[in-house]
Amino acid sequence: MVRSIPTIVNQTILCGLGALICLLSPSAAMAQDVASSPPPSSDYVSREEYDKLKTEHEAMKTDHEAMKKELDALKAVVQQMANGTVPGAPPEGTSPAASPSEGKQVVTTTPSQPVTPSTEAEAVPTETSGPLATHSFSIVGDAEVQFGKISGQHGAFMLSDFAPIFLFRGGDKILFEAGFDFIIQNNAPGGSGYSTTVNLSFATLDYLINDYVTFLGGNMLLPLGTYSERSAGWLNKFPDAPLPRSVLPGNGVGVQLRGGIPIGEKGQSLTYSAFVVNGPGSVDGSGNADQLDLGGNVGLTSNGKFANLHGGAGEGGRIAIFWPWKPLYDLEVGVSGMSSPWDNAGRRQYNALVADWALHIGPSVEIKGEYMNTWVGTDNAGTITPHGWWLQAGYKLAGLKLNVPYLDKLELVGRYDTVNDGLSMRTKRGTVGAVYYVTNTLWLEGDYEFTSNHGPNPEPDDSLLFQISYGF
Amino acid sequence: MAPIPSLTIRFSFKSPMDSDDLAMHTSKQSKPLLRGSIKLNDLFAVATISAAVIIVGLPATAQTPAPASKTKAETTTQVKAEPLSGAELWALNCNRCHMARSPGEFTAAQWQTILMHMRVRANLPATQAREVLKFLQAGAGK
Ligand code: HEC
Repeated sequence: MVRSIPTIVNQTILCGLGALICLLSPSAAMAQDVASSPPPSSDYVSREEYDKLKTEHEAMKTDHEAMKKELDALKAVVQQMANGTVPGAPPEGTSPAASPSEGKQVVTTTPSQPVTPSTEAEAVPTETSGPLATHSFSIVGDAEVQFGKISGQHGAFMLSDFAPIFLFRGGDKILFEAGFDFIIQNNAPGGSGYSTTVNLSFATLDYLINDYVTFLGGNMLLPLGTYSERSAGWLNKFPDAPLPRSVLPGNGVGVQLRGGIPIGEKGQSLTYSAFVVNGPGSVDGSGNADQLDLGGNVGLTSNGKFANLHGGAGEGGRIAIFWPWKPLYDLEVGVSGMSSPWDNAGRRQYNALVADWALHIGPSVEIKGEYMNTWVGTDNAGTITPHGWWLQAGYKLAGLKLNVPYLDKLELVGRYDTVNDGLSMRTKRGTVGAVYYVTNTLWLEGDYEFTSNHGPNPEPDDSLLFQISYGF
Repeated sequence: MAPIPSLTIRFSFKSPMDSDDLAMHTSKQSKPLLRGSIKLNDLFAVATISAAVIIVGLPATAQTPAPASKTKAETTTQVKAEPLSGAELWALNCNRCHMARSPGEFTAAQWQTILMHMRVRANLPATQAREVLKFLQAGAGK
């Protein structure tokens, strides 16, 4: 197919040139006729001769115009072929130049037809009505640069995260999405240099089965609450995750069915996600409380074995309602949960229940949060209940309609989050800060976090964080 | 998105390619997925899967031809599931999880991919996603 295009182009050009020569030669012959015909009695041109010449001239002019048009059309076709904007064989009748063998006919038919413009008009919709290719590849994602000052430590800059997302689309049913986190860290104290870690946050093959069901398979962000699925740097108005997210697994390897069903005239919808994954594991295989490993059961062990560590399955899902009642006023409420064995013997169970909500009141006010409780069966501590909640609010100053240049791009934010690990540690934190929107996806964030710990090993206390977030 | 500190964070960077004897071990994992007595979470699985099966069946029901008594107008309103325009749906949906992205930020081809990504991530009803896509593509960048 590709190889045939130059041939077609060549043929087209040859025919065009042929036509040109054919047209030129009779005119040349006529010119000779005129020149060789015996001169009349005097140097004057008779009326008859003048009329004859005039008609010949008019005919030549018309021919010339037609040829010019044909040449332009040919040029356009060649140009389009070179750009790949028209298929090798244009549909019949779309352009006179499409069938080179008919080139002569074109000249004799209505030469006043707007040949070139019509070809162009066809090329434009081809571009805007979507790609000709069915496959497409895009790189999107986000990146963050952070400056942190934790009380009792030196302040430091760090490139906290570079998180590209690869999106491969095959036709209109298949999407492969993979998100990475590239992070650099100093090597352990005493060592030199730094190392780069690459984390595969998610990698799923999504297949749109029909309007109501999409299948996902792979390493998925789990729909337990909404935070994991909506945490990219240019989505989260704070530089870090809410504390209680630590009692839930963020991702899991398995399969999922999900979708949305419209339920009203105002854009309301009912959404669901249901998944089966390997579920959490145990660090040492035992069911002791401190061995619960929410991040480590991805199906392949470090010695190369294929293993779901406990042999059971972790199942769960989320169901939610999105209820806009007028533009920019909406409420989303969801309930999600998960249940899975977690110790190697499969005797101990991990269960989680999460409620999430997000409310928008006009363009300036957003309030959202999650509450999560988990029940973890253990060998040594009975059933423990790690739990927590967080609530955040944001107010965009543009809502005050002050029309002050910089203030209008500022959003004041506040968050309260707390977590109880179910053993003996409780942490509470309050964060106040602001987001300055340089653009919709380039943000400057500044936050002060007040942290208080209750337990045997309190974590570092207050911190000051600045972050530049960019979504691309 | 920075990884969330979980109760135990373990990074394992061993790639499947490193496992010299993957194939040999594969045979050992053929344990039944759900073994032993039926547990609460097995029932949960059955419930979610049956719910899913019902939902998969939905479109078939939706496509059942309308009874002959219905007028043509009635049938069309039934088929046109989406009362709102692409622009309205964009204003409603596309700025609630993040700042809105305007049509000119991406090309028509990129929008098609992104809308698929968003439809899956946000569980957007397909009819709405299609309307939003049309709106975004109409104003797409070159
Ligand atoms: C349920 C929340 C949610 C809704 C609703 C939503 N998005 Fe997103 N969007 C996200 C998340 C999360 C990301 C970041 C991608 C990731 O983490 O995988 C994102 C990323 C994007 C990106 C960056 C490119 C990409 O594909 O990652 C664009 C563009 C975008 N969304 C457009 C839209 C449009 C248009 C709509 C309206 C149809 C929309 N979003 C609705 C959550 C949402």
